[in-house]
Amino acid sequence: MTARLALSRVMAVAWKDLTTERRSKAGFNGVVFMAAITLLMFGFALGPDPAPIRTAAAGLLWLTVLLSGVLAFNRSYELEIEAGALDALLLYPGGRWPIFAGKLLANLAFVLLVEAITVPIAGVLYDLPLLTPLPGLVGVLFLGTVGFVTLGTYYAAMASRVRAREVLLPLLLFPMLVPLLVAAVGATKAVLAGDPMGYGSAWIRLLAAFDIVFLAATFMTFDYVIGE
Amino acid sequence: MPGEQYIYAAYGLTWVVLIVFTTTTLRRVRRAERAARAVALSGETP
Amino acid sequence: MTHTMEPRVSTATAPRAKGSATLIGALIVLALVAAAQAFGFLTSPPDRDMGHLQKIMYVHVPAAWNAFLAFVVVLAGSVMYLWKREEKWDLLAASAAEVAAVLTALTIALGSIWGRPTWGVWWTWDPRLTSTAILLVIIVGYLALRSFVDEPERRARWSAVVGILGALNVPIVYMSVRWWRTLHQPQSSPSTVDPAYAWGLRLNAIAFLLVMIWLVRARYRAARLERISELAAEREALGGRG
Repeated sequence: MTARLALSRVMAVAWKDLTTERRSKAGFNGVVFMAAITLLMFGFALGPDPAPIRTAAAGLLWLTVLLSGVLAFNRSYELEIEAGALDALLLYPGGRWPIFAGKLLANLAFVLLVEAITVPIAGVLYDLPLLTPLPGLVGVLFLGTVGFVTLGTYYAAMASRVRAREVLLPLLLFPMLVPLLVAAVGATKAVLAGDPMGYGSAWIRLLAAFDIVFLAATFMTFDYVIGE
Repeated sequence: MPGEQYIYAAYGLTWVVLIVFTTTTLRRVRRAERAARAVALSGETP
Repeated sequence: MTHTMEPRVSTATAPRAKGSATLIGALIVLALVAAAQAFGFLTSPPDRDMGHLQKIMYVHVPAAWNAFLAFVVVLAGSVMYLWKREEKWDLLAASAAEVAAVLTALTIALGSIWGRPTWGVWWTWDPRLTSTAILLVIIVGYLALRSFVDEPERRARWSAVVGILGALNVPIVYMSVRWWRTLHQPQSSPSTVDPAYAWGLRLNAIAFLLVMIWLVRARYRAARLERISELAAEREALGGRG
């Protein structure tokens, strides 16, 4: 398969997924609502004093992203399996990795969009200074989301095809995401505080390493997951 | 001996886990053997 | 372990002999553990800092080492399955994962029992403790996936990649948790084992290793026999005799 053909396949799959999502909007709206309500509930759980909320804000933000984002991944296969479209997609000759890459891109766009709405809400609710550290914050969010979406898209390819898929996906996914959560929260904390100690760069390197390791591992093994 | 109860707890727990897990493993082997034997016997009669 | 997967092969007589062997094997390995523990108790003086609590080391450390070793077997079995596509490697990985789950849970519980009188808390966010807990949930996820997928070939493929990705994650988890701690407070230095305890520890580790091997072998054997019965039942359902 030439690079050009592969790229057009990747874009076709991504575009198809995003179009389906855009036409229905039910999934997107549901996930955004879930994220907003989670942010609110964390606020209520930590009480009216703003100090503990601000201390925990980076962690709460990432937990919100993980808990609401995980709802999106199974959908990206479910609709297809219901319509029998996945089998047709698999019939195309050549490698299967473009299917994975396309779904990965679509999910990445989806979760980044959710974050674009959620993070400002968190900024308002938790009184976070978002504008000054904005470039660093966007970078950290992007790196963390890439790793999250990579593993989410990968494990959903399995979880969405078994019974009890709602339980199985987080069970497989969340333990794998522990280093990502630790690093993303560390980096976000550092960025929001203006990084006075220079801790941020260590966490960003760890995030990047996590992304590279699992992008490589998932692309190399996706054939085993999707194949019949 | 200070902290004695923790040593009892540790060794007690270890032995409970070892014995329970060994016993369930033995049971599973026994059950699998019986099933496989039944299959083999029924396979031999035409 | 030389059974083929063919249900036509007569297993009528072989299992009986092996069946008693597994029981005797179990008694022998458990007796060795008891003997190693007795040796450890008799030879070790009370530790300068920990007193007799040091004796928990003889169960905690061997359990931890062998849990880790069992997880290495899961990784090896998973890689071999994807390479060779032979069912036995999948069944080996699954058997090792079951044993790894039990030993990891035991390791954490024992660490907690030791931590309570030593550190004053049942749980602390120590890198090794935390990484071990993550390892446990990864193994539980692996076993959950297996229980949710019925088709054996697909189950083997999927659990192999989940096992490999899980193993890949273990060093990253450990590193991240260690940084997480060190960026907050200095890490306590690991105490080297005094020679007075070394032999007791070694013997206990070997005894535990034998228990681990016995458990994996027995469960592997059960898994293969279960597959033989399953295959035969499928054939019968299809109406032919193969």
